[in-house]
Amino acid sequence: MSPVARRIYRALLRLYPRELRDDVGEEMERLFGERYRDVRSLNRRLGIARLWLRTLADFGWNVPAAHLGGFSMDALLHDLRTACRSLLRRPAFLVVATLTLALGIGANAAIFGAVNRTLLEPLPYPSADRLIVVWGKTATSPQLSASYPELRDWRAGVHGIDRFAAWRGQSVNLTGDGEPERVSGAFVTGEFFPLLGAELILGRAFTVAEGEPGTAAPVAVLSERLWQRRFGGATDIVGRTLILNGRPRMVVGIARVGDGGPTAPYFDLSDVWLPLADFPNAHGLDRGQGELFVLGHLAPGVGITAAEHEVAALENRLASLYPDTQGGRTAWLQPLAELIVGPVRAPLLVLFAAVGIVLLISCVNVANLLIARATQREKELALRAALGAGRWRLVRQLLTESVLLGALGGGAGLLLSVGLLRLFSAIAPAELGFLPEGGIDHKVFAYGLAVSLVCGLAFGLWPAFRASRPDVTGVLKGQGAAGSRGRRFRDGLVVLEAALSVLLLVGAGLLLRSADARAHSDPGFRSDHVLSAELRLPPAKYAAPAQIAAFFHSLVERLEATPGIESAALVRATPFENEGGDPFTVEGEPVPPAGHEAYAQTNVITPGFFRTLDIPLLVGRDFSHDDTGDRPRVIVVNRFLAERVLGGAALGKRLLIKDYDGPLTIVGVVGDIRQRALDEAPQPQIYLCREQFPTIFTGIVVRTAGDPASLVPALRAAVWAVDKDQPVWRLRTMADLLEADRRPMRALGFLVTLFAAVAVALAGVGLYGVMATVTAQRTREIGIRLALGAPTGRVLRDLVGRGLALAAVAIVIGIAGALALGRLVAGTLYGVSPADPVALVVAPAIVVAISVIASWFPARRAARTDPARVLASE
Amino acid sequence: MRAADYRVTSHLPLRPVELEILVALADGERHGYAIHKEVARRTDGQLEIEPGTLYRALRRLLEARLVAERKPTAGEDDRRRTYRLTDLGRRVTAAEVDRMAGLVTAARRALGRA
Repeated sequence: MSPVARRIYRALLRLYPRELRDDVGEEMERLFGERYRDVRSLNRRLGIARLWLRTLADFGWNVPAAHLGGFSMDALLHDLRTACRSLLRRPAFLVVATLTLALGIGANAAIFGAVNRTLLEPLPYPSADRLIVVWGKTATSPQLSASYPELRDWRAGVHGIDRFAAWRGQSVNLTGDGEPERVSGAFVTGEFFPLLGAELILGRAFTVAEGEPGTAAPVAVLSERLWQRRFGGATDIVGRTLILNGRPRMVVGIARVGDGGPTAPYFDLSDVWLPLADFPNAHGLDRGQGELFVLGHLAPGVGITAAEHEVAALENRLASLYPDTQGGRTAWLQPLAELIVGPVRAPLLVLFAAVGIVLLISCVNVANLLIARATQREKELALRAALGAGRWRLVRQLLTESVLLGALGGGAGLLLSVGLLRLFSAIAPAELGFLPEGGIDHKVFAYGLAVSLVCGLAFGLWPAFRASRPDVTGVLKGQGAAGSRGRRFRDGLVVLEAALSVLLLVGAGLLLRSADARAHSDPGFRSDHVLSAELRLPPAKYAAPAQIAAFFHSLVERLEATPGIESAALVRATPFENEGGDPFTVEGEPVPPAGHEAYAQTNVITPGFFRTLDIPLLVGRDFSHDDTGDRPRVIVVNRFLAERVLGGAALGKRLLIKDYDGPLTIVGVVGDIRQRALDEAPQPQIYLCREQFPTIFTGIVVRTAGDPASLVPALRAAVWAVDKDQPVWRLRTMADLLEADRRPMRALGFLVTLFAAVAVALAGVGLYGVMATVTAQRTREIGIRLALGAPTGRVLRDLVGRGLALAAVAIVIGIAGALALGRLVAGTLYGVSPADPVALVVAPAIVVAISVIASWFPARRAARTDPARVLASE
Repeated sequence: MRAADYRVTSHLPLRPVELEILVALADGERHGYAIHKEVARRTDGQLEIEPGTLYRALRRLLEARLVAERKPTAGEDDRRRTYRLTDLGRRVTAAEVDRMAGLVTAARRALGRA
């Protein structure tokens, strides 16, 4: 055998347990040498290589088997039996440890379930990771929809995106077949269905040609929902003709897009899909009309950046070709997954981090308990060592116990996580990624199992190695020796637990403060006692502007005459329900280059809107019924626009807004409101007068004297009194609309606080355990001190002081950690800084209080010991 | 069941490797390399027992007292350990072979009938 081969074989032999190696190592090496010689002499091709392969396999199989103890199954069962007996001997320890682990693992598995469903699993579309959204943007507006001619140019000129589909949601009136009804509808191109993998339950989708202007056909595809609800799942639906938006259309198919789950994006939720060509808004498909939500599929091998460059380059060419409509415009791509789950990611990861900390604390806690237990078991272990049990044998036994404990905790934790998931989806909305049907699937189960095993090893390993080295002679001689040896280490563990609790408490505090700030943040209007609704007049029935004006005029009159309604108004975009925006310029000021115009949220209202929502009129006047279509066009702007854009003197100035015949003279200035969300920054807002810009669609807001929800039937009745066939929908109280904005933050704050409470309780238990052991070990010393006349208060103070000292170290570390990690959560916070003094004071205070309580009880017990008895027991 | 029977049957069934080793020792004392060669010869090279497997099996058989070991005395030329069957080992091997023969007969009968 070559010296190299011999050296390699000897190195491999070292992998075996020493005892086996000492026994037969030399024999094995000799046998290997003889076989090596044989193979050499045979001179066969690859002979030596094959020998080495076989040898490696031999080691791979036998080394672990040898470590597991030769008679592995029997030994394992024996270990398990011993472990069970040993755990059952101390039921209190077993229960505390199992519950501790169950809390950590259960919370972890539950949040992992949400993380997995929301962030890890692909969206329910074919090749979902290659789907993107194409947005337009200008210097002042970062996210704009596309126009139909733009879509056609992209289709022809962008090769990095091989498929495009366009979607434009708008409600559709369904008549001519039973009760008139407004259904949520969408105008789409034919590619929409295959691109999103629509499942066709009956019939077919419409083709690309059937959807495009010029070649469109009077067809419709219905959703499975609508088909079941309105048509009872009738199989002869395909081929039937329905009146949709006043025009007969043939149903060609029944489809389902996506999984329809609670986080399904808006474009999944239509009940009727109609050809894009039939989009009813006037000039809605002209160039410059950003109406379309455009989805694309990246061509094979093309990255999102490359495709984005291509689209942007084309947009630049279009901007110079059509300066009036596309000037200053470019485009960017957003992964579809980012659009859908992006907002959920940060809060979910905050939650995941929180339960990670809880799990860490529960592991540390159990490790601490195990060390305390090992200290109590020193005698047993020393005896077994003295009787010849090898160190590995003792480690194995102790590890079996901790892994068994981990498995018990994991099992209990998974049961707990089922309940927790239910709780989470009940209190936390889908905006946090909790899905009602997101139960425990095999992935969550596997995750829980893996976490339990890793925990079992992690918290068991160190105590096991420590305990397997007992000071045999010392312990057997009766000196309770090892106490001081582990004290410092256990102190370290308690400090770690407490520091993590401080960290989590600070986080919880910040989120609670954010939720509170959001709950009390002012939307700029009074949201109580307000009811809102929407309606859209059928264009076929209301063709003339005079008809539309007449309808809305009598509607407002009827509403204001309704008992319980104090005032009523119409608004195109109800706050927290809808929004609209347009670029604008100031008359007489230099016109900025295309795409650099200032951008304002625009809204169309009736007189009385400001009064109804209690938005303060700062200067000038509200609209009046004299501001009719044949009078000069007037607008009201918000304070932000008046002060930041116009420098204060707003009244009488004139603005120009594309698509609104101007110029528009400012007659009043009102306070700023939040239109879309409480966390949006103040921005320019422009109100136009409904009588001057009538539309068939509107929102309704009414201020009520009593509970607004009780006025729902009255509001409906008022609409039907004007036109008995007019559907009205989205009847909601403004308080509910704001609540929907506040709920995610509150739920996040609540959940993190819940986890922080668990963490603090666990840390308290850990501290109590350490203090109890320490004081028990010092009973003799305390007895002597008391016997020598030390005042009880002094002894108590010493003991509690020790607990507080640990807490102090933990607080310093925890606060430092919180400040360092603050940046990470800053994006999730609202109206509060990551270094919020309240959170940074309250969290340590809680930990101090817990440490006093946890050290007080063992200390008092020790201080009450009868010195005579302690000394007599020696 | 008689006590002697129990002493034998409690070792059954043997692992295949263990049976091969015992059979290889049936006609006399051998050292590890010889056992390896004998097993390979009898199985036409189908089974080559690697050192780890061989010596772990031998240790089990020693502990169960189915084989006995003779360690080389100091000064002896060949310093290899040799192994031989014990009485118990011989009886266990025979019983295992009988047990397998019974299985084979029963299986043959079952197949023949089918």
